[in-house]
Amino acid sequence: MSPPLLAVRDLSVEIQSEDGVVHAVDHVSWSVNRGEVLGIVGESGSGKSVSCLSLVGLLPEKRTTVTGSAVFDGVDLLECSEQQLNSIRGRQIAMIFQDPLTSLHPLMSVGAQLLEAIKLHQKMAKGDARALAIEMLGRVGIPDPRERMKAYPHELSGGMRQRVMIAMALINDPAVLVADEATTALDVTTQAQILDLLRDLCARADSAIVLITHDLGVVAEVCDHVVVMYAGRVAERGTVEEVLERPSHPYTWGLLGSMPSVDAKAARARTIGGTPPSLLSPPAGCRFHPRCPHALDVCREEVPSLRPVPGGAGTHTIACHLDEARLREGADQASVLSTVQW
Amino acid sequence: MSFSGSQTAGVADSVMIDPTLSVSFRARFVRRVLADKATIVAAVFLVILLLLATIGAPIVAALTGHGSNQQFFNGLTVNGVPLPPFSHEIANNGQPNPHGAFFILGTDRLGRDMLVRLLYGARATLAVGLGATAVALVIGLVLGMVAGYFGGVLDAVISRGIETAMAFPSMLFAIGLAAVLGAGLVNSIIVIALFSWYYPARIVRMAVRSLRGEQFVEAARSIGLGHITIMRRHLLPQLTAPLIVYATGVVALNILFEAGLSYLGLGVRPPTPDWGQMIADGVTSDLYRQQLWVALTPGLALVFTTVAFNQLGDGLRDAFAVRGSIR
Amino acid sequence: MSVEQHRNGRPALLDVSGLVKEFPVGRGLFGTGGVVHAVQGVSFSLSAGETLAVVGESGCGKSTLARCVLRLLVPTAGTITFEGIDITNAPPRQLRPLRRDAAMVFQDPFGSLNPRLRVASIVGEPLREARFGSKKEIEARVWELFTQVGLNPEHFSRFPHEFSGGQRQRIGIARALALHPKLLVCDEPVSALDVSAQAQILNLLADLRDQLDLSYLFITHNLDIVRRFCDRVLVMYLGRVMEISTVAELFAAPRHPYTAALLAATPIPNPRLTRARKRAPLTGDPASPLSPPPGCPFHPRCPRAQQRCHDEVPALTPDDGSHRFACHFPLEVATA
Repeated sequence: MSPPLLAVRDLSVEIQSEDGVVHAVDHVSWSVNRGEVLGIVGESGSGKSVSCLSLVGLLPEKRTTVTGSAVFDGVDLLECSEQQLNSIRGRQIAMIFQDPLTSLHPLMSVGAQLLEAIKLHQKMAKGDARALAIEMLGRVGIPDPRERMKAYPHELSGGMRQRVMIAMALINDPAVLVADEATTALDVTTQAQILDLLRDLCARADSAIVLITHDLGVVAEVCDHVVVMYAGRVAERGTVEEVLERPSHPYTWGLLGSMPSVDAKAARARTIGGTPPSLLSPPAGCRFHPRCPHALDVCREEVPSLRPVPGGAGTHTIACHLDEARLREGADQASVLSTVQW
Repeated sequence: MSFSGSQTAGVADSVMIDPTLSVSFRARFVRRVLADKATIVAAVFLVILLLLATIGAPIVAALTGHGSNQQFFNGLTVNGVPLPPFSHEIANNGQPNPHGAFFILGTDRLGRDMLVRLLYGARATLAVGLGATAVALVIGLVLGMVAGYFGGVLDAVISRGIETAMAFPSMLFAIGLAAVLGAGLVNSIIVIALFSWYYPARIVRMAVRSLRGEQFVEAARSIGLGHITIMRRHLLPQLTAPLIVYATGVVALNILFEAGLSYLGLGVRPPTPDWGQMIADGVTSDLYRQQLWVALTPGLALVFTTVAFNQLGDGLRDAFAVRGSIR
Repeated sequence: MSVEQHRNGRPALLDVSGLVKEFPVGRGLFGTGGVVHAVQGVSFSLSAGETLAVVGESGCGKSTLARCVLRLLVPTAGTITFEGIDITNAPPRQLRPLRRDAAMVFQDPFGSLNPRLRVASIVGEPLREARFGSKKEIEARVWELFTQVGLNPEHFSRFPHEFSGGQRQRIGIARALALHPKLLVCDEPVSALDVSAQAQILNLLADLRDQLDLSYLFITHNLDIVRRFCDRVLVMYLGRVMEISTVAELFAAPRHPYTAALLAATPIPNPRLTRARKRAPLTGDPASPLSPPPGCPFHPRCPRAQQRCHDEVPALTPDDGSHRFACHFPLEVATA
């Protein structure tokens, strides 16, 4: 088994804010291989975006403390200098964000921005670069690419702009594409198109995708593996079948139960009571314990470490103190999916 | 314990308030200001200036025994040159008289005590500066609010009015207007206000235009609130912060404007002291070449005051600023 | 005249007929502006106690429709009748019953509450405006409302920023309920919330519906919520109604190709189910409401489109019945 393309180990991020230290990410580990799609799922405040921004050094340096390791192709990103990161960002690790209107330069044409992306990382004759840019626009599904090169971002629709972002991200053939809520702001029909496009392009180039989202449906559509995050920590991790068909963490049960489409017959959604914790002073022990209906005393005191799900394959891990019996009982009560197998 | 949380509207669900969110605007504001040394210095300076101008001036006049318009023949050298700061009056032999009157900031062209005149002059400066700004704010607030809220024709008319007023060279027109109306405190206030109302008007208009689309304004309309009520209750409180910040800058401008008017003899009537006039006194017939302090003292007072207002404005703006996101 | 059958046999609370709303854009002294055709002829009715979903993607006009119903916008054409009164062009004085009996819940939990006012003041504002009673009476009613929406009444002198997103939405709902309305127009009330908060708020709205016999006009783009929460659904696209039906019929057998595409594009958190679905995502992007296509607005993206779709705007058929659609070549009802 070849080593993973990007392996994050014990990543922790603390950010100094006006009101104190925000413990945004706490000992998070995951990895992704070539050709794979990893989904990182969580609600706001889960640390999913912050953790990925910290990998490529996009957090404000002075106020941020990052510990742990993030080994990409043999190199620890967290130990890299700004120069080294500059050559990795955009070339080997590319990112696309939620709002393409603010991520694209409003005063430069689409073509100019694509050419800039090429010029930064590749040596190419101008004519060749233009040809590559036009080809890329076509490949992401923009009609009339030659004409569109001259267009400005505000002239394009949301879906088009996101396609341009994808073109810019993929034009240098990165090994990893990080998509931070890239389809959240899009209509559902456009989202379907973009997700198909992403999966298709990356399969062809054998690159990896890290897809940050809050939508478990999107994860089910596109991802191979999934990491569920809560309040800066990993709650559950595994393949998409494992986590979505045999969810084994009370938070995941809550997430799935809250989603209407899971059980169309229920008139009321099963909710997770309470609100997410403040990351300025997170709860001791397991950060989910104040909202967990199965919380034990040990949950208040001891941070649960990731351990394999009983009866599952080794790849499926959870961070929970509940023993097998209580997990089974909880899964039954939640009866989240009729396909829960215990 | 059942999972579903609650079957009722769920008092248990939403009772908790995150204490870290409860830092009030006021507390955060105070904390930021206290951390900003430059702004504190500026604020203290202005408070002291205000005190000096209002109650300090007569106190100092009583303590030194010098009136603001009292001319001291011995306040000039034998050649008629005013005295520098920390001087005693000149005795008949041409030498300083250590038992005579003492002028902390020296004297002016007519041998009057500079310090006392400076303090009394601060009254005119602050009165006109603050007064004109207040009038300008009221005019600008009303017009800006109407333009921003209603849009359409009203906005077009008011905006054109703003642009037209801004296009006029204010000083020249002010001079003309002052010449027609005559000099004096109230007239100065009117003239200056007429040429500075458009600064707050533009700010207010822009702010109201963007606030108008906010959902809480829509909500207010959906309740059936009238336009005036919405402007008063929902929009006006949001404007106080940017207006206060902006006002400090306008005060600084208006103080300079006032000094300019009085320099030209169109401000407060002499012999009432006024910083602009004092500078003019120091400059006519090149008096400053013989005694620099005659012009420098009021000039420095003007500079410090203007800088203090600007610094206060900067500091307030930073203190009011909405906290940025973590990223 | 819409001739909807009222499933629950109760009288129509709201009747919308041929609603058109257009916005001029681009100032032009010389009339060079364009026109946004936000709503182009929408008709439906809503009975007391019913929940009608208005579903569509961005640009379909659903938010504009909601605002017309509450007379926050004045319709360009068509009629709106609420509780038997024609409110389409009524002057503010005649809108008092509307303001009392209908209220809006807004999308943005952070923007729909004035950050400078205490939440008690926000919730009590409709009461003061309607001269509900003395200060004490208003305070008592506010207390009651807080409890009803699941908030701790002791927090009522705090400011909006001290609450979480879900709690703020509860405050907005409390405000809407102040004058005992019969109709709540909810404009994407949970879209800006996290998944767990969404479920809580939807549960609250369901409970309130039972307790207070409310009707909802529920604007959303999320079909999952529609299935769980609503009785009937109206699908809009570029200002027109594509399909209107009971929820059960729509999900079981959509007749309009756009509805089918929406359903197919909605992700389901079950990998096996979702990957087994036959997927043919729509090509292209929706046209802009500035220049809607001629004929059926959906035809440029429709896999079944033919010349007739370009030439003729399809009318809603059948004329009455619980399931109506506007398509020249509707999908066949699949045999079970």
